[in-house]
Amino acid sequence: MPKTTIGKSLFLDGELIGKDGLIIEGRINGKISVDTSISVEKGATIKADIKANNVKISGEVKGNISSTGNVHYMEDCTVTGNTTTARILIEDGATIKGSVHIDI
Amino acid sequence: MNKKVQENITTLHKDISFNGKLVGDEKIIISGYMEGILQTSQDLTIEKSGIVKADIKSANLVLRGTLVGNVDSKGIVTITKSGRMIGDIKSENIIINIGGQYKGTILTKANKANRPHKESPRKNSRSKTKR
Repeated sequence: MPKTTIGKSLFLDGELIGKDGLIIEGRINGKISVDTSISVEKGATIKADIKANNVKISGEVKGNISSTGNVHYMEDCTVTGNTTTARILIEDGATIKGSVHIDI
Repeated sequence: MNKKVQENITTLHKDISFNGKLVGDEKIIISGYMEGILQTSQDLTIEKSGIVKADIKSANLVLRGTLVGNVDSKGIVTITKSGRMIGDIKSENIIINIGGQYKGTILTKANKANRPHKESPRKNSRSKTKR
């Protein structure tokens, strides 16, 4: 499936909704809702609530994360906000502030 | 700043819809739906499946899909045979291919020169129009 990429130099302010996978390298303010996977790359800054199936974060996120699949917090990520997910993986070195709910 | 000359392309695919403001310095291709404001210093392409309701600022613009909104382009605006557009175009070079649909006002450089009052000096209006 083709993936939508938000490049490094881009700044989005608003609501992003989709079915495809999403890769974010830039900055986003607002709201993100994707049916499949979302990947926040290193250097990306997000101030938004994220809703997706699978979430993988290496960048910076301020907002609540809600997932129906996996949440993967990578080594250098910074997350401020609550996480609701079915499964979670937090790597050594991840910075997280917020509550985590693991529901099935 | 380390501005690497990289071929960065941002694509909004078919099933993605975006509502808001999109600002950046890279090539953008839109195949999905977008509404709001779109600004880039590079080229913009709206593909056949793309629907954009936005005011656009870009370098070259290629329209194969649907666009409702005003365009301010520093390069060439091309409306291809599958392109449909409603809105004003401000650009020096405009191409509308056979089959392309367009409704709106076009403002090229020639129209600009006829204006009685002087606009505040901008970077790109410095070049040849001074005489």
